[in-house]
Amino acid sequence: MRGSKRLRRRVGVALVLLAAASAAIWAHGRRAHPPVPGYMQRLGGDFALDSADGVVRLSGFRGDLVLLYFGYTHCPDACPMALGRMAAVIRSLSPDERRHVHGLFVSLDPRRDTPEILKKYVRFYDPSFVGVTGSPEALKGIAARWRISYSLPEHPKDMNYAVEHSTFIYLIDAEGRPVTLFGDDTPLATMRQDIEAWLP
Amino acid sequence: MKKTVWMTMLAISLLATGAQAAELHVQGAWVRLPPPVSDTAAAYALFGNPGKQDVRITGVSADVAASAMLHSMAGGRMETLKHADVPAGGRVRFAPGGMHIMLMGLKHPLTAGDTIRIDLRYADGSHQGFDAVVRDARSDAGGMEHMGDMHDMGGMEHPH
Repeated sequence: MRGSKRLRRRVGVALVLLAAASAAIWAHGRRAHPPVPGYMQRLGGDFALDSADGVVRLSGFRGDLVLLYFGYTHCPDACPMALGRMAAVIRSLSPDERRHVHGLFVSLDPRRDTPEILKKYVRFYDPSFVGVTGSPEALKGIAARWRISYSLPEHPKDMNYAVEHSTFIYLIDAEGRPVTLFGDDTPLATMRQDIEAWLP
Repeated sequence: MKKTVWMTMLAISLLATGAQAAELHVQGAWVRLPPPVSDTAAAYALFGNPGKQDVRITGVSADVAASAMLHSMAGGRMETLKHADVPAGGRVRFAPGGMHIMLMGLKHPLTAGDTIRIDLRYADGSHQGFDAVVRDARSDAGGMEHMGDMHDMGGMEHPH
């Protein structure tokens, strides 16, 4: 009788210690992520857009990281640079890490960018990248939630027009939340460090 | 005596020509190879102005493109420029992430190694052509710092 009581007490102590250790590990894990700036916490949100291979949801990448960029395929400078940098930083990761980082390109210019064109466009940079777009209304809503400013000509005189747009790359964590922004002058080494800090 | 007069006249005519038409030194001009589905490309170069007058670039065109325009990235946003100024004795670098020439409506797909003829129009009404080489920049996507190095290696002009 006394023995089983002692055993129960020991199991109880062990459970408390285990719980404390788990909490410490969990807290440490949480602390390992860099702080998310306040303005980043107020933007973002899930969305569903069309790719050549069906509907793609941002939440479909849960558990992995996403490098998200908003642009258009007729973009001569900013988008090729951003996609090239996304591809380069992913290439610089170990094969194990690489499997958990995805590239997602959202075209703000559905008038010219069909999902099929987008697929060919993003594959030029990395065969694993996904290109999506949607209705002008859907894109407008997503851009507003993601604080993307852009201007499409309403009545272009021909199909050769430029789209002015924000040029940041968003890093999305495993929970689907934007956690940091990369500008076109962010060194690749910094991008890589940030990605590694957020890897699940 | 006769020779001196002749030389003076030559000098005057040269000076007159110099004052008449703007001219820029163009170095390291290249065009970014676009993905095969895109009919838009960016051109970059280092423009030096050896003259005593500022040069204002007011327009641009290229045989290979339906239209072309001057663009600039400012504050994380891409914007169209009405003109670009190269100050007298100064240089302006068109480079990834900054100013560039946007070639739109490419008439045929570009291939790395192609030479593209680009024509600049100046505020004084004159114009100037230069050649730019098409380059596949995917492998040097390491960032602008790297691209800058490439330019400086390719260019001949260094401040002394």
